[in-house]
Amino acid sequence: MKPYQNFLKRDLVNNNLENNFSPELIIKGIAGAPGIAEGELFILRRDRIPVKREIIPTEEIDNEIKRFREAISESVAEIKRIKRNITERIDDEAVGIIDAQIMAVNDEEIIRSVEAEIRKERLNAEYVYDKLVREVIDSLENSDNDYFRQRVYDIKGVRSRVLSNLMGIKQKSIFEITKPSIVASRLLSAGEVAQIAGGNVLGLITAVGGATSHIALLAKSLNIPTVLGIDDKYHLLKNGADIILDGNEGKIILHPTEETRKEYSNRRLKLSKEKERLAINIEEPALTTDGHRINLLANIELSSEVKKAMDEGAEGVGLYRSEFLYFTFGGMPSEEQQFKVYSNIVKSAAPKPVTIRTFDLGGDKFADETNKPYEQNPFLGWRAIRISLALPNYFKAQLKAILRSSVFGNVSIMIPMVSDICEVKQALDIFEEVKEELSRERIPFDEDTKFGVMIEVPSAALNADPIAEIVDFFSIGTNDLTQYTLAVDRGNEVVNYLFKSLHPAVLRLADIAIKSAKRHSIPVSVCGELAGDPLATALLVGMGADSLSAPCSSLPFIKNIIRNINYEDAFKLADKVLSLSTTAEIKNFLADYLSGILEGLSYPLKR
Amino acid sequence: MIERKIQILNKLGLHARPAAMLVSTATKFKSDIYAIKDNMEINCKSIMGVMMLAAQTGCWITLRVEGPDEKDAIETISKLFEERFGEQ
Repeated sequence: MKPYQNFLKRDLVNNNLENNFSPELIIKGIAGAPGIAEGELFILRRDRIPVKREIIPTEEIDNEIKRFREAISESVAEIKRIKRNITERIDDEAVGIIDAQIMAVNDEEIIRSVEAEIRKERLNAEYVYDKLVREVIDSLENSDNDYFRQRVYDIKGVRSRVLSNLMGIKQKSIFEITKPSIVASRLLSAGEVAQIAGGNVLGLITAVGGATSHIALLAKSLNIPTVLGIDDKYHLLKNGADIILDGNEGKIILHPTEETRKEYSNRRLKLSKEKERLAINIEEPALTTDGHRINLLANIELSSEVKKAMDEGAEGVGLYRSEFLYFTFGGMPSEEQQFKVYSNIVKSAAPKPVTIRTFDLGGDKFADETNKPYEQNPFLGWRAIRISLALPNYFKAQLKAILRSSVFGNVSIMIPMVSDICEVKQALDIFEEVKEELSRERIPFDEDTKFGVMIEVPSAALNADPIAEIVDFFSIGTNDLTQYTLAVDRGNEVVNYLFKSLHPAVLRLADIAIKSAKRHSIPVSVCGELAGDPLATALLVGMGADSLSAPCSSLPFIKNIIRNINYEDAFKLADKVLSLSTTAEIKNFLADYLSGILEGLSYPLKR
Repeated sequence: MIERKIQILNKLGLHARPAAMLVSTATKFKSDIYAIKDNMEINCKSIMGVMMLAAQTGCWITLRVEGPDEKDAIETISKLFEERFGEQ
């Protein structure tokens, strides 16, 4: 739905806030976890706990140290309790984040130094602990490395936890939230997000953080609608304010008017009614009225999403974004770690197929590669397959892990951001090498594991014929294809109004790629956001896509459309659309067509 | 006391996962285990310390181990670095 978010009202921030009258205010952030929440705002303050410096009488020193040790034990116990409470609800990938918090509270060196200094300087535990941890924070904050700077949030969380326990202060914590609320915090440590799972929390807002941060990952895994990165607008939030949080579009609406409220509740009502109505189709195949079969697949980021996808009627996983592992593990996961996660996904999907995309790192998704050169144009730089080929040991480890998981079900491997056939050949050589190594080591794998590429760079689309000759399938990534074809960075607010996946040039490139695939009799899927846009469904079917891979929640709607269109008609429609010259014409044409066949279906036309 | 210079070979340096591995391995030994880089000396049994080291790939650090199981400790920890913390 994202390509259209710019058609919505832009920020309406004004300076009238001091008046009693509170106008509706739309604040745009980053979509962290999907879903819509409505309720009262609860602002979680992490006021710096005021720490006093006190001299401890000599006879009280032992007691002071005892008090400190108790605070540490209590803090560790708290985190362990949180961990126990959420382990059931959380993905394996995320548990490591909690373990690291325990390690930081229990830090032997900090504990030893605090005790030594209490003894030597006869100072109170709060003061000494705060001082020593601040040194760590300062040094990380001064680091020129983004990854280390991000760890500051987690360490600050650890500090407040220990200090609160020492001083017997109950910070305004998640547990104090007595009625269901939408919680906002300038920043949240991983421990706090995990804690939220047990609370009365309808939604989450933070000032910092991006779509691939730990916060986003945990929130998604816990099904809490989340908007991140509202940044300089954070101060506009007031405790107790009414608010609607839209985690799908990454925005919040403060003091919504009656009208907006109605709009949202109508939308929700219609959506759930529509979903109910479509539920009868869940077990049915995505078959056009004249019997043409489309494979409907899901895009996922976490292993827990496989079940959700199947519940929505997915016939497999068309895109597993493996790079999310890189963020959960805070670095490159080992072959064993990857193997464990991939096997889980493959087993829970089996016998349905799973396509694993190799790491699509770089661009806006590269948290902590220390050796990453400074790049003026990261999206045109060291990214995806380029990184994999430059670091063949990592690439091999990933391919091995995927191949080893292939014995548990049906797996395919997909390479992102191919721009030149040489890259495909090189990747295929490594793939063969890995297979040989596995055979030599007598490790079982499925010899028939398919190897495909993403078509998302114009050069790959234009040169698709020779590529189709050497791979097993194509998947068209419409987001990057749009960005690279139109030379528009969608993350850039100044130009993202130009980001249009239904642009004639983007569609023509997709058409070239699909026709190449057909000529070489290899299957072709579409897996960008366009695949999840009901407006585009008939068009993509008519252009010849064999499968569509989309976010779980949009699958029932897409399937309903497929089951209501005629393949012959779709084919003609695609022909007509490819002759149009502007995005507006294309959209209008598709909207007319859709309203013709789906009377009363509001969802695709909500814009 | 044993001292050994060792190079960080894993591509990502001492980030979260390798740092946690180093700490949990070091904690298994009775000996004191320190890492020295530039002018900083940190306790390898401290996750905060290891993070403050901010050791990136290619750089050299000195391990200093002292205690009853120092031989065993330095070998085990050197191996961890040599095997690139399982990153291959």
